[in-house]
Amino acid sequence: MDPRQPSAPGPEHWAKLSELFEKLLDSTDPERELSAIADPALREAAAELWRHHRAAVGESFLDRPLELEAVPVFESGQLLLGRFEIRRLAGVGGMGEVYLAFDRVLREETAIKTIPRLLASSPEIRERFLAEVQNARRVTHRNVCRIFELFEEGGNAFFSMEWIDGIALTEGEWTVADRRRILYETAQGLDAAHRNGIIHGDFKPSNVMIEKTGRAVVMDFGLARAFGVANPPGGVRAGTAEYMAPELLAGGEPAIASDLYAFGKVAEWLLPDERFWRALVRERPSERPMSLDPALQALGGGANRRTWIVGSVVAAGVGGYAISRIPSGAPKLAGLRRVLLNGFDCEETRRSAALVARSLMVTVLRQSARVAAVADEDLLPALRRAKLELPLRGEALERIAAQHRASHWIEARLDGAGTRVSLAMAVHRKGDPRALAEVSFSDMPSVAALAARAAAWLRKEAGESESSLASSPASFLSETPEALEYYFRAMRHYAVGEMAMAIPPLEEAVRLDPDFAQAHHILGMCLTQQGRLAEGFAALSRAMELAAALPPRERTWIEANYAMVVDDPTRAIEAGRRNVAYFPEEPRFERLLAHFHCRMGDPAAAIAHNRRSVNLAPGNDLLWGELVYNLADAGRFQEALDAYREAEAKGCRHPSLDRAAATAYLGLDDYANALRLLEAAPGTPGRLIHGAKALAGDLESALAGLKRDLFAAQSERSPIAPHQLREGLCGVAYLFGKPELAGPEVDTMADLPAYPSFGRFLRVSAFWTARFARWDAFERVGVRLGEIGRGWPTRQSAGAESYWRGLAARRAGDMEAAAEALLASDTGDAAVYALFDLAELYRRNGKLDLAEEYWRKFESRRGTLNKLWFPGLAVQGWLLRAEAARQRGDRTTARVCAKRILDRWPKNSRFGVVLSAREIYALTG
Amino acid sequence: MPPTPGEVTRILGRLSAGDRSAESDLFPLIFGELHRLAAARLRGERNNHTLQATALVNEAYVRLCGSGAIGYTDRAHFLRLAARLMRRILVDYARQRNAQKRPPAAAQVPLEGAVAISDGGAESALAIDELLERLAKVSDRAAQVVEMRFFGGLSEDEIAAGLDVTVRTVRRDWAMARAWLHGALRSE
Repeated sequence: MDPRQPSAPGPEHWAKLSELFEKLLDSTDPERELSAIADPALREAAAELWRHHRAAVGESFLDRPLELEAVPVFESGQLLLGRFEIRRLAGVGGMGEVYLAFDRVLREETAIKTIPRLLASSPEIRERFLAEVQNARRVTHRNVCRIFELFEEGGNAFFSMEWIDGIALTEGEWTVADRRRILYETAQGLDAAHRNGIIHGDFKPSNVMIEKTGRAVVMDFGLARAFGVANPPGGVRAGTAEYMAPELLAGGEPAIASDLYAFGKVAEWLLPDERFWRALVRERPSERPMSLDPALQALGGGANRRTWIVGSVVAAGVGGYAISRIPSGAPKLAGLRRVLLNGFDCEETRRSAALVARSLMVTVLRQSARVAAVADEDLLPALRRAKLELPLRGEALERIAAQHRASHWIEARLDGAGTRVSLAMAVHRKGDPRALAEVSFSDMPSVAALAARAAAWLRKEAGESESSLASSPASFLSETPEALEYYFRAMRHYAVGEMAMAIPPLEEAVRLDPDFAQAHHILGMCLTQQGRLAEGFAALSRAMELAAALPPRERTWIEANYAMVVDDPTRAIEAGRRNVAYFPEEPRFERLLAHFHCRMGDPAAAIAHNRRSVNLAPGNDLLWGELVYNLADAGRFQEALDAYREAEAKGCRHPSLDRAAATAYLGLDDYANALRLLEAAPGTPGRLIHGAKALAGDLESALAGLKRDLFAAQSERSPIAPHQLREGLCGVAYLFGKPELAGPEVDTMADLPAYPSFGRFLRVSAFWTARFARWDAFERVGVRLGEIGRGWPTRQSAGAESYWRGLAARRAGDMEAAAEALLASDTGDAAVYALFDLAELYRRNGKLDLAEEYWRKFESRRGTLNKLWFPGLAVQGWLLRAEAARQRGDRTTARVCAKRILDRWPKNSRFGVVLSAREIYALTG
Repeated sequence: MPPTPGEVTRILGRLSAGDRSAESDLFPLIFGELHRLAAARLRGERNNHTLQATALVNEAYVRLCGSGAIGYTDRAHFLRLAARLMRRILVDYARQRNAQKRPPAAAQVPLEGAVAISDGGAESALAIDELLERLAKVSDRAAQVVEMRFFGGLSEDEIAAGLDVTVRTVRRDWAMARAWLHGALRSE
């Protein structure tokens, strides 16, 4: 700005000028008006101003208000790092821009989020940012946006994250039902993060995306903390302050309590009429509930009889429709069953009524041999034809019925109580607005009775026997609606592997209905998985007792799982086969059966079932993960990787899928790829990473990692994780050639409780205590295996005892007895150790051909080592095989095996195996 | 999300009743909303990455105050405040564009990453902002007219209501202030 300009008039001068200026504006001859001004200074000033006025008008000076524009960091079509093709700018937020990009490596759409330059510039801030992003990556939950990786190009830091195809919560119109569901889902997402100790720090409606499928996803986890340095709390936090807890506004650090406050505020905004939220938005952090459980419960819907009744009515109605379509004597129409169940897609509706309805539906369908669903047929005429008396009337319903096609879902709601009840039923079709119907009933008991009659009718018409009919459809589940509510709430967690979260509602379910077999069953499974073995076993045993009264098809699932827990795969497989026959379309039963085969030590038999499960549910990443795992387990590594790629092409992405692929890479001795996948997959157990490192020859780092993780695992409830880490420690010590490195941990391995499914782990304990000659501990293992064998006499427990006896006989020098016992122990997934011992035994006894045969067998079971046990044992196998071959005079095999070690491991290392391998290589040269 | 319409209306009521402290209560609310809208608007309009203050201010008004009954004076107050905030936001953007070497002050408003102002826009925003400071010393009203029109994008009617003057006065103030600004900027 030119300091001489402009003349700075005083206020009076301005006022005078202003007066003159107005005259000029109104005048038809401004020039004359100007020359009429007497005061020369004023005249000059006015003339100057007028000149500029004319010029400004001519130039349209400042005519348009100022505009803002977006200046994206990246442009459409730009390729980042040769990998990410920028498609378009998808959003601009306070913390950077979000782009839709295509990832050429993973061949899928991904979101790219930029990091403000300000942040990228300071190393300290970057460091902190990285730490937060690393942290946030640990959350894998369907309601939390996954962050993948951090990158940098051309001075721009950015990271890739899950692409959510949808809109922000703040940008859409939502019904009350939507709002409830959205809030429930976001609460689950937050809760999952909190359980990992991860704090959001800036939870607010604009941080929630609603995917087109309806899924609510919490975005920007931990980023607020990451950015916290750049935006000090003292600064203005535009738009966020109202969701920020008072302690944050006062400059405090974000905590779970402050997330709860924010959640309460968001909840208030979404559902202002709920009273519960007030507890969450208390001013004092200490008074806020520390977990989202109460919120989840409040959102999960009130457990009451009404929803149960509605569910029954709807289920019976739709079920009746289905049944009525099947002429008697018709073949089973299993293929259509899924269509009907889609009507109650819990994923989509998540409402209590729909859940309960679905439960009854499933039950009715399962118990009726000839039930199937039908599409493209009017509902009401079908019901009439079936003379099914249901309280579905009215023109509105006729209309719905006319529109009623396969892809629909139904939600229902009861209003009023006492003598008059009205049922509002909404039928949705994909792409269509909902149609609503109101139906009135005179009283609730008759509605319930009607529903029960309808259900019974359905089953009878479906050809069900009188004795089967005598057990009510709910007996598999429960006749206590509240218990069912809790059960279904738990099942949502169970279905996605959230065992810890499924336990409290299941406990509630069995408290409300102590005879609820299915709830006991699932509770037992969850408790067992969480390492609460005694309780889990008790729950499963109770489920088995109650199961005796159930129809066979409901019993088999419980039997199968019970058989697994008592480590009886033979029986489990039998029950599993029945499951698959009863429920030909449920992928989970195929998956279970596959699992049983693997436990039996026969992964090859599992694969067909895994294949079938992914055919039934091609989008289920967990099922694909199992397929990949089991292919690798069976030693079909290349096929496993093919399946991995196939799953990826189908859009499946899951840490367990990556881990499974990593075990396949291990089998192919591609350690770099294996480690890359293992380390990138959130939640990978340390034992897998350290085991892979040991296999790759990085023993120091494996040893350090195992010790660190073992220390951390001491506090875990389940003794299995520490046991597996101890095994890793033994394995690494063995490869080092220094058993003392394992320290007292070898002995500790003997101290697993005598619980049947621990038999396989105790086998591993026997292997290592014997190998390291820790005979006191070895004896203790024998005592425990004996207890298990007596309590649960199965093929597995007999095999484990036989294995131990074999090792004991070897110790006593009775080689014949040792070989015999070891040969008899070949059962289950820990049998790979017996192969190792046998090969080694034959070598020592000079039976070198047999030794070679067993080393080959051992090598063929490497997949199992990679999946379950210590992968590095394979290296020891190569060494011992080389030694056996050398003794036999088979120099080629000896050299190949020795070279295998020398090629893959650090050349000049002082590790025992490398030294020995070098020796053999030299001797056979 | 924005505060409830009731909340803003209530504060505006206090303002109309002469409670000047209401202004400072209202500021953060309007400010946040303008910021949010700026970001949201730019996100939505994929092919046209510009937006006008007018649109923002009016949208903020509808969102914060609802479309229902709100007093004439309340609306006027709102628009006047919104324009002042818009000026602050735009000047901040302009500064960000012009002076990236400048370290951020602790209390500086965090800016939306990719929202910016064109080079020309930034220049005039900064220059006009500075000149308005001086203009305000001789005629506060004229300075406000420019602020409301150029930064806030308000119409003559809205400005008149906001300042409680006639439209004619607004026109005159605008023309004169604009001529003065033109002189200040061009006669170098």
